[in-house]
Amino acid sequence: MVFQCILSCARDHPTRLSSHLLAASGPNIYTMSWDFEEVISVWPEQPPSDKEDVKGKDAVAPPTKKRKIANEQKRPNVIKLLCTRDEKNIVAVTAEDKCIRVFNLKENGKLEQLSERCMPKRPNAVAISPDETTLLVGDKFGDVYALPLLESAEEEEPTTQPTITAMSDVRAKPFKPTANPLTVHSGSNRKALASQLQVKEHVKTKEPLKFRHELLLGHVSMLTDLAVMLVDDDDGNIREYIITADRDEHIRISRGRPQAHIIEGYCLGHKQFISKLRLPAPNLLVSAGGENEIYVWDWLAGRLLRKIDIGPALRDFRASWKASPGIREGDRNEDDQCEDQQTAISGLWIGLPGSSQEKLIVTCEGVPALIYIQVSSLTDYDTPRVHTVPLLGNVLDVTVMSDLVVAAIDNIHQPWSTSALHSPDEQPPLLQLLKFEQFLYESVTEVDTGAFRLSDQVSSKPSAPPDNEAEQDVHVDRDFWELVYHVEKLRKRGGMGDEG
Amino acid sequence: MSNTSHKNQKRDEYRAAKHKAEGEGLPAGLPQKKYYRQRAHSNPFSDHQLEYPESPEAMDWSSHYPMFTGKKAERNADLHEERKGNAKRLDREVEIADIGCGYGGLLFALAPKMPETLILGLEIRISVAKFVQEKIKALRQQGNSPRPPSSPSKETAKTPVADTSSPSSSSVPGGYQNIACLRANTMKFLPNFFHRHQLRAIFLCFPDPHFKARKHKARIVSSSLNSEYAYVLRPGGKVYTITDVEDLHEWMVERLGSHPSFERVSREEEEEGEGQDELVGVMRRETEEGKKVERNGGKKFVAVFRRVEDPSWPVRRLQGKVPGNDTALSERKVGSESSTIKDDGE
Ligand SMILES: C[S@@+](CC[C@H](N)C(=O)[O-])C[C@H]1O[C@@H](n2cnc3c(N)ncnc32)[C@H](O)[C@@H]1O
Repeated sequence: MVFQCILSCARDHPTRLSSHLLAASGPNIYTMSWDFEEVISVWPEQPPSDKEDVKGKDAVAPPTKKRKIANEQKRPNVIKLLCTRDEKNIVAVTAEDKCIRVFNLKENGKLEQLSERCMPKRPNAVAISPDETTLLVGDKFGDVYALPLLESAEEEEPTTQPTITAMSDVRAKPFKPTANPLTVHSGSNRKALASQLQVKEHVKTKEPLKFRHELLLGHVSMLTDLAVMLVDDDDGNIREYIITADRDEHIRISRGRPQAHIIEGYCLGHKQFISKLRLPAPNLLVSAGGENEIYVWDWLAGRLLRKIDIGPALRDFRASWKASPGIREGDRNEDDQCEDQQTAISGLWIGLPGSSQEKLIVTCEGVPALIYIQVSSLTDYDTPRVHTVPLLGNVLDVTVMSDLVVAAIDNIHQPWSTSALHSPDEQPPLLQLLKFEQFLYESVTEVDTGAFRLSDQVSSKPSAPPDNEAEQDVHVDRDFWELVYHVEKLRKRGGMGDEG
Repeated sequence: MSNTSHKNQKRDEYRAAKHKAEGEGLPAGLPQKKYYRQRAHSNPFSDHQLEYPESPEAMDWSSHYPMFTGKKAERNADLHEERKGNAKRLDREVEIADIGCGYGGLLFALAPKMPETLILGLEIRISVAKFVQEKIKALRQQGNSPRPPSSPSKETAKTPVADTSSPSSSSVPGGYQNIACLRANTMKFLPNFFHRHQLRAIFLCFPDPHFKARKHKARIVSSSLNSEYAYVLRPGGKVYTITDVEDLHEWMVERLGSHPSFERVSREEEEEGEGQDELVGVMRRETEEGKKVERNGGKKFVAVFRRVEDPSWPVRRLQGKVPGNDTALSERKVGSESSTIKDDGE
C-alpha cells in the first residue's frame, strides 16, 4: 500500500492544530489527525472485518477480505485531492470513472459526499476558482470546463451570458448522411459516404452531461495543469486569468470567465511536455515537466526570465547516495541512467507559504528527494542555488502545512527505481514529515528529517486497511504502476504515424 | 503491397534524381504531383515527428523568404530584443496563412496578386508540403533563369500557375518570392508560428469534412480552435472558409458565427465582383479542391468572418468581495490567496 495522493487541509493554517491530513491509497481516502497518530476515518466507509457474516449487498463495502480485494480493483482510483480554504469542502478526482466528487469534511474527519459528476474525458487538472464558487476542470483531450463547486438548488436559472452559452458544446444534430455523390470527390470521401449510408442507425451520440457545465477553452493536446490567478490592473480592478499547460509544450494565458475565449498570450519555450505550473507570486509563474530545467516566467508579458537547471544537483545527490554506506548492490546496479538523462518533474509546491523564506519545492518521478529553491532567489541576479533533501524512498506526492512538508513515499519500489521492488523486510514509511526552519537561510539543516520521521504506524492502526497478508498479494500491476508513475509517460516517443 | 513498394521506389528514385540535378546546378523542373501523393488523412492528434519553432521569435523565416531579408530587416532585428540566435530577420511578417493548403493552388494564385505580402501555406501531410516547397523553388528559379525550361510533364500543364499566369514566371509579379509552405499541424502548433494579432487573413479551404460525429473533433473549426484563430488574427482580419460539404459549411458558420471574437461579413462581401474583397474570388476559383468540385459540377459554400475587437475586461473591484478575505488586499495577498488554490491542485 502506498499513498498516491496526499492533502493537508490547512497549509496556511497558523496553528495547524485543527487540520487534517487526507491521504488516498488506491480508491480509498483516509483522514488522519494532524499529528498522524491515527487514521480517524476512511472513505468509502468500510465495515469492520469481524462482521463477516453480514451478507453484503453493499457493493462499496464488501464484508470479506477476498471480495474486498476483488472489488477494490473495480473501484476507481483517486488521482487528485484538493480543498477549499475553509477546509470544509474536499474535491476528489477519480481516474477510471472520470468523476469529480465533492465532499463535506466533517469535524470528526468523515467525508460526506455531496456530489458526483462524471466528465466526458478523464480530468487531468483541476483548480478551484479564487472566489471558490467554481471548479475548473481540464481533461485529457485538452478541454477546460467550469462547474459550480456546489450544485445549487435544482432549477436555478443558468447565470451564463449568451456569449458563453455559445461557447459551450452544441449538441449534435440528429444524424443524417451529409455527403452526397456530388460533394464526394475524393476516394476517401467516397468511402466515408459508403460507410455512412451503411450505418442505418448512428451510434448513440454522447449523452449530454446532466449537470451544469460550461466549456471555457480547449487545447488540441492533453491538458496537464491549470491555474487561476487574480491580478491587480493598477486601476483598482482585478483581472482573472486562466493559465493552462499541455503535453505539447504550451502554456496558454486566457482571460478568466466570462471571457475565457480570449487568449491573451502564451509562454513558449519548453522543449518537452509540461507537467506542473506554480505561481509563487502574482506575476511570477514557474513551470516544469520533462526537462531538467525549471522555467521562470513573467507570464503576463509572456517573457521567460530564466531557466534553472536542477540536473547538476540531482546528479551530485545521486552520486552521494550511491557512495553512501549501507546501499545494497541491487540499488547500485539498478538501471543506471545515463548522465544527461532528462528527469520527469512531477510536482512543484511552495514551502513556508506566506513567509519571507518561501521555498519552491520540486519533486521528480522516481527520485527519493525533495529539491528546493529559495523563492526569493528565483528572480535574483545570481543563479539560484538548488538544494536536495534525501527521502527514504521515491516521492509520490507532497503537501505543505505551514512549516511542515509531508511527503508520500513509495515503499514498494527501491529508491531511484520505478521497477525494482523492495525486499519484504525493508519497508520505508508511507509518509515522511519534514520541517523547514523559518529563520535559517540557505542551510540544509533547516530540514529535520529525523524528529518528524513517521514510522509505518499508519498502516498498523486498527482502522487502517489492507493488513499485511492482503498486501502480500498485491503484485505491482500495470494499473497500480500508472497510478503512481504517470509523468514520464507523457514524454513523446517520436516517430509515430509520421507518414500517416 | 509490392505495388506500393514499387511506387515508393519510383518515388524515391525520382526525388533522388531531382535532388542530384539541383545539386549540379541544373534549374529545377516543376515537381510532379504523382510522386508526392499521400494518404488523405493525417491524424492531427498523434505525435508526428513535426518540426516547429519553440516560439514565433525562434522561427527562422529567412530561408523561406530569402528575398525579404535585408538592411531594413537587420535594423528591425536590433530593435527586437527577444531575438533568439542570429537568424536573419525579415523586413516584414507573414500576414496571410492558408491552413491545410494541400497542393498549394491558392498560394500560387495569390502570390502574384499581392507580391509585397508574405503568404504561408501550412500542411500536415509531409509529402504534400514537400511538393509545394519544391514547386515554389522551381517557380522561383524559372523566374531567375533567362529562358525557363518548358514544363516537363502534362501534370504541370494542369497546375493553376499554368492556367492563370504566363508560363514564364519571370514576368510574374514578385516571382513567387512571397509564398512559402511549411509542414505543420495547425491544430496544435499555430501559436508557435504566429504571435498575437500577426495575421490579416486565414484561409480554411475545403477542410477535411470528417463526416462521422465521432471524428468531428478533428475538424479544423471548433470553438476552441477559433479562439486560437482570433489570437493570431488582428482585429479586422478575416477567416475565409469554403467547402462543398453543406453540413460542414453549416458547422463552420455555427462555430465561427457564434464565437464572440468573430462576426460573419455581409453576404455581398462573400461574393465576387467589382469593389468586393478580391481574396474571396481567388479562393472560389483557385484551390485544387475547388477545381475538382467545379469539374464535378458540385456546389461551393463560402463564409467569411471578421475578427472583432476584444471587449474590455470585466470590471471587478479589488474592494469587492473576494471570498476568504475580508481585510483589504494588498497585491501580495491576492497572489498568495490564488497560489493557495494552486497548491490544492495537486
Ligand atoms: C481537402 S484538403 C484541401 C486542400 C486545399 N486547401 C484545397 O482547397 O485544395 C485539406 C487539407 O488539409 C490538411 N490538413 C488537415 N488537418 C490539418 C492540420 N491539422 N494541420 C495542417 N493541415 C491539415 C490535409 O492534409 C489536406 O491536405
